[in-house]
Amino acid sequence: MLAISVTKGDYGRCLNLKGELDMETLATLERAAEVQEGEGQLEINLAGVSFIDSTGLRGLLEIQRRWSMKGGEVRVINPCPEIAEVFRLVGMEELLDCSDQSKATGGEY
Amino acid sequence: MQECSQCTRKTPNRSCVDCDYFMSPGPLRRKPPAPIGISLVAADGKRYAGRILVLNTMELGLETKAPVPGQYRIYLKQHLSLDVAGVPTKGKGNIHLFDIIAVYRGEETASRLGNEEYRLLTGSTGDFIEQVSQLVPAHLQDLVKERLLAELQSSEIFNAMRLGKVMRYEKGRFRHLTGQADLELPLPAIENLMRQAIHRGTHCREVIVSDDGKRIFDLHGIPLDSRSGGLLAFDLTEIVEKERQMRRQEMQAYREAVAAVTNGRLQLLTSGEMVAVLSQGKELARGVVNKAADIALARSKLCSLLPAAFSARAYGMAVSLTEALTNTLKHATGGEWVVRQTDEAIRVIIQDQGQGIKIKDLPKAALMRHYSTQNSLGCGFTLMLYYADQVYLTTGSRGTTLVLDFHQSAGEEICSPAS
Repeated sequence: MLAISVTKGDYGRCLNLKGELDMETLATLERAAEVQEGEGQLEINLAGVSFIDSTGLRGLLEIQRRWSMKGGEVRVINPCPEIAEVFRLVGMEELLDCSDQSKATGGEY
Repeated sequence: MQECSQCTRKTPNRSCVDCDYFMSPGPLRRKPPAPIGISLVAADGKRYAGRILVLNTMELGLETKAPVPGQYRIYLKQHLSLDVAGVPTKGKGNIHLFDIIAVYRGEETASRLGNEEYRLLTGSTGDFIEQVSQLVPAHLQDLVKERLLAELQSSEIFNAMRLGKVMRYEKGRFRHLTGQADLELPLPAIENLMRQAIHRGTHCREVIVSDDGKRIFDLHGIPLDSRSGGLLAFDLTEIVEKERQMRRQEMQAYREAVAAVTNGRLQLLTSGEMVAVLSQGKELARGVVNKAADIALARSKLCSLLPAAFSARAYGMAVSLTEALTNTLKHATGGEWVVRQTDEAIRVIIQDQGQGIKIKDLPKAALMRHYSTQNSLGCGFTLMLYYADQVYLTTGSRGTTLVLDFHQSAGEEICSPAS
């Protein structure tokens, strides 16, 4: 399951995700991101996400690609260490927000 | 008698080959593109050289020193021979007309040349190739032409086509036309194919295995009219065996490459080797995945039954199971999962009946991290290979079996398991 709430974040709209992001729930995130399109900047807050797989990661990458084509920007923030590690394993750590870089590269956890 | 003896005297240089008296004119009178060398064998075994200069279905115009009158046998090819008798009143010098008394085609005997034999004798090599290759479907024609030409260049015209066999089917009977005469084809299968081709009026193809299971034939039935057709048979046995052998070698090369780039972590197994792996230890749970929502259930079940000693591995195990099951939904119509516990590991087994994984992509997937983001197979594999301690894989056109072993971790506790 994946629940999404929208708040105003530091850089613009923020999608706060709660639950698991995989093949089943990706569509929920894609719809939520689509509604916000054209906003310039989007934050995706993974603080409430307990699980992500490669399908979820590719979904995030796709959202970022769509936004940057329209001149926007997407930041992914607050992944738990396991999730940050998955980003790193598939070579997507640059998608994570810089301020969370310590977490993102956190093999030391 | 008059004509030829007069001609010998009056116009010794006039050619018999084009003479209407020597052999009656008509559409069946033909000159081979080049004289065909033959031997005439007399009843006492004595052999005379000869050349076929002109022929129709009942007579041959030969240049030979064989005494005329006289009866001889001419061996044209393996299963085709003729009995001929010289006609003393026709011809001059060494050129004589011979009546065809009997034609022996394998077991059959006839009193004249069949259409095919006649055409073979009268057509040029090129024509022959054209004719035979026209029996074949368009996409094979070039191949057949090329192979026939190569065959013809290295052998005599009648020994051509060793790659297979061409037969004519007419009124329920097969007649060997050319090619490998000793190629034994299963009669019910070829009859069936020919009936089908003639009934449908279209090219029909079938690949069959001989009754003893030892040979593989590629059969093409081509309808010629409402009652007859041509059968072209290729013996694929050696080609298939060669291919199998190459696949085995290729498989071995990939096994080694994959094991090397993964430090032995990923092992490709044959289905025979996999059997033992699937039955080790005791089963803890199993389930089926037909839709995306089933994957979360499988994941949650896995995490709920893990012994405490494995809790530190829970996240990686959940990701690995998810990736494998996602693949079964993407590349097959779903799959099955089983969790087993062996002496020192939790073993997660995922099976599907899809088309199989391209083995040649595995070393890349295992080695190249960024390859993974563009490739759904690689991405899942990168993660599975990272999290699992040992991966066994068997894949083929009938499906894929993936086994992921997770060993008990050495004490460090990481975060909470996925829920």
